[in-house]
Amino acid sequence: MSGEYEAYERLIAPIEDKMMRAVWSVTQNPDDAEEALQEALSIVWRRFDRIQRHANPQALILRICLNAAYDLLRAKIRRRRREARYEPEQARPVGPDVQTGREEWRTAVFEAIGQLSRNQATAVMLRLVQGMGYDEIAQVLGCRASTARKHVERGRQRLRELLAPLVADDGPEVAI
Amino acid sequence: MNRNEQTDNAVDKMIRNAMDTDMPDEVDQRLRGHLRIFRERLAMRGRFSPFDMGRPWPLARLAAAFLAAALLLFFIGTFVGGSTPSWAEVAEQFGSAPFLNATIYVKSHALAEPVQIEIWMGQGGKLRMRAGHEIIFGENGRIIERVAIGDKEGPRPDLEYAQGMLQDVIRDMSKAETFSLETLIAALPIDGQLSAPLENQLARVSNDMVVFDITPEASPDWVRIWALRESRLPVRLLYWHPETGENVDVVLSYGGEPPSSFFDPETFQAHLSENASPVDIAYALVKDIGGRPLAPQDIQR
Repeated sequence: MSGEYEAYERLIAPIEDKMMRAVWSVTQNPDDAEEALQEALSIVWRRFDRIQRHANPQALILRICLNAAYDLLRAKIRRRRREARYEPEQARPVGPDVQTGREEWRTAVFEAIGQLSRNQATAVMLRLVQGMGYDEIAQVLGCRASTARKHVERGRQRLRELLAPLVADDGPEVAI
Repeated sequence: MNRNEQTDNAVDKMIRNAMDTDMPDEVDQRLRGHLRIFRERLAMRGRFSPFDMGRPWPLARLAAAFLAAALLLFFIGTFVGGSTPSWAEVAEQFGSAPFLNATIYVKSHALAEPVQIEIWMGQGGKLRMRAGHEIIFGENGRIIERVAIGDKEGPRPDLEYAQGMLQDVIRDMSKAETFSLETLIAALPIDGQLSAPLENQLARVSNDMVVFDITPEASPDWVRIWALRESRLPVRLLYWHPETGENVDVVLSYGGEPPSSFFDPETFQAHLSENASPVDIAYALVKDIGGRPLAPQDIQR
């Protein structure tokens, strides 16, 4: 059995579920989730030696997964904007696949997340979606807990600015 | 719960709902399939060619590093001439400056209007800052006085964003005995393991300047520092995030230590009067190192 195989069992096997949930939460689409995971695994493949020497390899791998999914989301947003410029009536929202009109607000969420910096987006996703504490987020981002908190707060503040108009005037329920 | 908190909670709820982590079984199976293939490929990796650059190969790497170092030395010797200051020398020189003026422009995204913040720092933890319509005095990591000038401003998220970013640097730098470039860089929104500052020959605009780049391990953003070759003083620092266009541009200048009244909020407040213009107040006691007027009162003088 090779050293790499043992390293997989030690580093990646325990976080397989987290990796899959990370790419799924951002893409919400089977094909995109697959593409993001493949991209992340190809980065892990190329940098496996360096990753093993990292202070927190699992946090780094998780971050690579989130970044791959986030980059895919950003690319789709850019593509959609380009298409909308030429064919506005046929513009299709990005993020989760559009199956019903109810998905419009989800699209708005993904569009808003796409406007955050990568660190802010990752921090907000880890906090709100994965329910991580600031210490855990700091490990993933490779920064101090106070900086992680700052990324979360700034990201949330920006999302609130962008998404507040979608919230119903008469209460906290989401306008969908 | 007030209206703002209700809105905040609703927005958080929207995000959680949109980014549901429950995967359909079909997706779970497909993703597990990729992980399985990856595990098998990794197990096979031990049989790869010794020339596969993905593997640790000490001799090949050593040879490559030696070649790169030789080329670098040749390049420096041929085209640059003179001694190139190291990052440590630049950082040391920055720390020994008696008085620092930093004009900081912060843009939260590519199309945002820049926010300008001015900071004056003296050795021994003394600080004065202008952010929007406010002059802030600090000492040893604490804000000791905030003085509002001019008309009251409405809420400014862009300014709050910029101030939030600078909060740590102001606290940490004014706590320390000397200025620190590392502290300044640590306050930027850049994260992860940072590379050692490396000289970037391509970014050098002339021979009397040295340029260093710092890059994080896992993201595309970067920091660049321009320093003078002779004095070894850094004169500009730029943070750039290529995905969002978020950037922080810091113009650094230096001078002799000002009188202690410059950092004294009581002396400053004595300058406040109904007749003084906001420009007079904003730059009260600030002196241009080159002797030029900065405010209307300087022209009269």
